[in-house]
Amino acid sequence: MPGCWDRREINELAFISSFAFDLEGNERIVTAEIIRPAAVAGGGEGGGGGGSAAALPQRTAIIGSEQGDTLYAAGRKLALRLPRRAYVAHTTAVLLGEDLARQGLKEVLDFLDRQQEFRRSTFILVTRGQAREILTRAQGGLETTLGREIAGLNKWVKVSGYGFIPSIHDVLLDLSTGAAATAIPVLELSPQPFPPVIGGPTSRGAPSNQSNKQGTTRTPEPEMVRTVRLNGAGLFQHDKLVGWLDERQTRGFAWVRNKVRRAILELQCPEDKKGISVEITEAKSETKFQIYNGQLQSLIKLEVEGNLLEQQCSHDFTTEKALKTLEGQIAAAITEEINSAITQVKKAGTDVFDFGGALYRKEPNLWKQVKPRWDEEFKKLPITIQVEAKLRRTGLSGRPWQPKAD
Amino acid sequence: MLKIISRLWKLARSKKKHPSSAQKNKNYGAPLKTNLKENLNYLKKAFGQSEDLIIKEIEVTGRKLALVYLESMVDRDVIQRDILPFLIKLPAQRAGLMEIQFLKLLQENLPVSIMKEYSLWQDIFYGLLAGQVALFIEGLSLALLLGADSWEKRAVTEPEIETVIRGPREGFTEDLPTNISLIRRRLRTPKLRFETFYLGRTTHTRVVLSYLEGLALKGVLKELRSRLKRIDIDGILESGYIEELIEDSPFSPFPQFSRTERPDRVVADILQGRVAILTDGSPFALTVPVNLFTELQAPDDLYERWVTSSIRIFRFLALFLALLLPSLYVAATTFHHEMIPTTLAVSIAAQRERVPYPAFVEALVMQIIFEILVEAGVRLPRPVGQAVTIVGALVIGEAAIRAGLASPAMVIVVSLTAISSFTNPTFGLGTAIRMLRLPMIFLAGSLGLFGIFAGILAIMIHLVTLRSLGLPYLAPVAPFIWEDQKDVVFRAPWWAMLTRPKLEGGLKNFFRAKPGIKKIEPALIEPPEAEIETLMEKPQPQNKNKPRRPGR
Repeated sequence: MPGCWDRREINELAFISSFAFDLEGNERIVTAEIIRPAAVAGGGEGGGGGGSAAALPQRTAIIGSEQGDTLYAAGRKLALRLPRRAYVAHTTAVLLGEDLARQGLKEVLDFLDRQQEFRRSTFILVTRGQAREILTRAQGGLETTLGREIAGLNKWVKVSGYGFIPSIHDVLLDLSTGAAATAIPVLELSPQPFPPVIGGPTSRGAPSNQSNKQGTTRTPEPEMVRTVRLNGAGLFQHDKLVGWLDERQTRGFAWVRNKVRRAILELQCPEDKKGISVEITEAKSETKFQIYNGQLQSLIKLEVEGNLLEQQCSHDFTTEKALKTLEGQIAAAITEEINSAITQVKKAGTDVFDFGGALYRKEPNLWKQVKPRWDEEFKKLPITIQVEAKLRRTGLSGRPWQPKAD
Repeated sequence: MLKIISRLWKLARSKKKHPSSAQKNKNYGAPLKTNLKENLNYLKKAFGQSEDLIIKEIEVTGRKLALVYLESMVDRDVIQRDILPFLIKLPAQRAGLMEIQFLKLLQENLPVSIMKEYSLWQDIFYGLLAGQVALFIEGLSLALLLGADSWEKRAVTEPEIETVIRGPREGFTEDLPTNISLIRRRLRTPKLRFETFYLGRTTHTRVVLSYLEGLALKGVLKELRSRLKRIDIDGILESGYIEELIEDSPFSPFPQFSRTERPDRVVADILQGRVAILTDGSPFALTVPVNLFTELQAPDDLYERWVTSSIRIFRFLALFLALLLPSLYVAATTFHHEMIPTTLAVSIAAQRERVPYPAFVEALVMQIIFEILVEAGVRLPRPVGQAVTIVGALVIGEAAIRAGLASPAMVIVVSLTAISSFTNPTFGLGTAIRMLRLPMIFLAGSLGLFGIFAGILAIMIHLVTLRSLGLPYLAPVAPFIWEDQKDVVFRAPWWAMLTRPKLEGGLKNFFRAKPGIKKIEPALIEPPEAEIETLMEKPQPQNKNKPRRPGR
C-alpha cells in the first residue's frame, strides 16, 4: 500500500530509459541510460558528470555502467552513484549482449520479471557483440534517448515487415510454452555518413568493432553518425542463443508467426528484369499437420493481400494474365523467404516457428508423444509452404503510363 | 461521526430553556376596545416613538374615526385621493346611524379593493406592518384594514448568476408579490397553490409554498408544512435560513434544496411535482425534493434542442475534474509515476526541477491561493475586482512559475480545476465540490490513489444515504429507475418525455404528454400569391410598441 512513508517526488527520480546487460568473464555488466530531465526542459546547462558517465551529444541522457556478480549487484552499484532514486518503470528497452545471450536468458528474465517496477511490456533486443557498445555509441538523430528510438523503431518495423520487437512478456510466453524457443531481433549500429555521401554508408569505412573495455567517453565523429537499426534476429533454444537469422530470414520467420502487418516486396518483371514493388497489406498464416504414411507432416498456409506500388516495366495490370503472373511472383518470393528461414532454423535446431505449440493446440495427444524428442523430430519435419497471394489494387492508374513516342 | 456530533448538538440545544412560542404573542393576543381613545393609546404605546406611524383622526357625520398607517409602507396617493375624500364627503343625512350600519356603509362604499375587519391586536399589527391602513371607528371593537401597500422595489431584471443562452431573461426580485406573479403568469391554472407562512418571531417574514394541487406529493407537503411550522427563530432574512433549518442532513456539504432565481426553472420544477418555497425579501426560491442530477441541469437544457443536450456529459466530467484533478495529479506525481506516460513524466520532472516543495504542498498552496482569489473576486467592489483578476493571473500564472514556486503543470491543473468547478449551473453544488477538494488533496498526498478512492467511497456512501425531504438524493440512478433516465445524462425530446419523474410526481399524475404527438402531418401550405397581392396593396402595419418590461 502506498503511503506518505514511501512518497517519492517525481523530480527525485532518475528515469532509466534503456538498459544493456552484458557478461564479461563471470562479471555482469549493467549499463543504463538515464534521462536528464533538466536537459529535456532545456533549462539546465552542460554538466554531464565525470567518471564513466558521459553525456552524448544529441541525447538528453547520461550513461552509467557498473559490474557485479549478479545483475542486481551491478545495478545497485550503479544506483549508488546516482543522487536520485533509479526508477525503471519507464524503461523502454533492454539490450542483451551476445555472450550473455549464449549463456542463457534465464537470469535476465528472472531479474526483470521479479522486480515489481519493471514492466513486462519493456522491449527486449539482442546485439552481436557487447550490448553496451550500442548503448554508449549510438547517436540519436531524432529521438532524445535510445529507449525512445527503439520504441519508434518498433512502430516502424511493424509496418515494414522486416522485423518485430518482442516485449519481455512475449519472450516469457514463448519460452514457457510449446517448444520453448524464440527469436529476438538484433539491434546494431548503422553508421551513416553525415552529410550523406553517395555510394553507401560504408564508403567512409565502418567504425571499428573493437569494444572499449570501460564503455566510456569517446570522441564523436562528426562525419559518421552512428544510428541504430534492426538487422536480423537471434535464435534461442531454451533461453540460449544458438544462431542468427538475417534480415530476409527474419521476415520469413515473421510471416509464419503472423507478425507481419505490412511489407514491401521487390520483385522483377520476368522478361526484362526490371523492378516491381508490391506492398503487402494483409497476411495471415496457419500451421496445419497431417500424418501421411506414419510420418508427421506440416503445412504452412499463408494468405496475403497486396497492392501494386510501382513498376519499371510496362505490364498492363488490368489484364487477368498479368495479375496472375504477379500474384505467382509474390507467392514465390514469400515462399523463398520462409524456406530460407526454415533452413536456417533447422540448422540451429530450434523451433522458433512454434510448430510445437501449433501441434499441441491441434493434436494434444500426439504432442505428448513427440514432446520428449521434439528437438530431433523438428529437424526432420517435412514442411510444405502454401502461399496464396492476391493483388487487390494497382494504385490510381491501371494501365502503365507511356511517354508519347512520336 | 456526524451523527454523534449532531446528537451532541441537539442535546446541547435541548438543555437550554428558552422562551418558547407561548411568549411570542404575549401582548398582541388581546382584543380591541370599543373606546377609540383607548385603542389609539394602546397603538401609540406599542409602536413607541416610531416616526412613520401616522394616526389621523377625523370626524365624519359626528362620528370619530381614525386612520392609522405606517407612512413608509403605504401609497399616500390612495389615502389622499381615495379614502380621505370619501370619508369627508359622506352625506350628512347619514348621521345618526347605528355603528353596525355605519360599518356596513363603509364596507360597501369605500373605494378600496382589499378590505377586511379584524378585532385582535395581533392581526391589526400584522396588517399595519404589511402596509395596510387601519380604520378605527369610535364605538366598535374592531378595525378595518384597507389595502394600500406600496414600497420601493427593484425591477425585474436578468438573473446575474444563472445566465442562459436561450430562455426567459426574467429573474425573481426581493418582492414576494412580484415573484408570485412571475410564477402565476407561467402557470395559468387554478390548481396552482400559494400557501403562506409567517416565519421569524421578530421579522414575520412571509414564506410561500407554491405547488400544483394534485401533483405535489401529499407526504412531501405535509412534511414540509410541519417542518416550516417548527421553525422558531427571531428572523428569516433569506431562503438560506429556511434551507438550513429544515434540511434533512444539516452537516452535509451537498445542497438538499435546489436554489434558483429563475421563475422558469421554478415552474419547470413545480410541473414535475416539486414544491417551491418563496421567501419575502430574497430573490432565491428553493425547490424540493431534488436530486444530485437536477443540480447539473441548466435551464437551457430544457429549451435547447434535445439532440445537443448530451453536452451535459461535460458537466459531469467537469464535476469529477473539479473534485479530483489536483488530487490525481498529486497522487500520480508522488506515488504512481508509472501511470504517467514516459515523455510526460520526464517533462513534469523537468518542470519540477526548480520547485522546492513536494507536489502535495504545491497543490495545496496553489489551491488556497486560488480560493482566496475567488473570494476576493466576489467580495471586492467591481472597479477594484478587475485589478484583483489581473494581479491573480500574473501572480499565479507567470510569476509563480518564474520564481520557481510552482510548476507549469501544476498551474494547468489548478486552472483547469478552477474552470471546471464553475460549470455547475447552480452554485450550490460547485461550492460543495470546492469544499471537498482540499480533503481529497490531503488523502492523495498521504495515501495516493488508495486515499483518493477511500475519499470517493466516503462521498459515495454519504450520497446514497442522503435524502432530500425523504426522497433519495441520487434518485434516478440509485435507486435505479429506468423511466426516469430521460433527464439524467441527456434530456429526452419533449415528445418522448411522456411521464413525470416517478418519485417526485407520484404515480397518480404519471403522464405529462399525450403519446404520439411527434407524428405531425406536414402542414399544407397555400400558394402565397393571394397573400402577396394583399400585402402589396397596403403596407404592413409596423409594431411601434416596444415590448414592455414585465413585472410590477
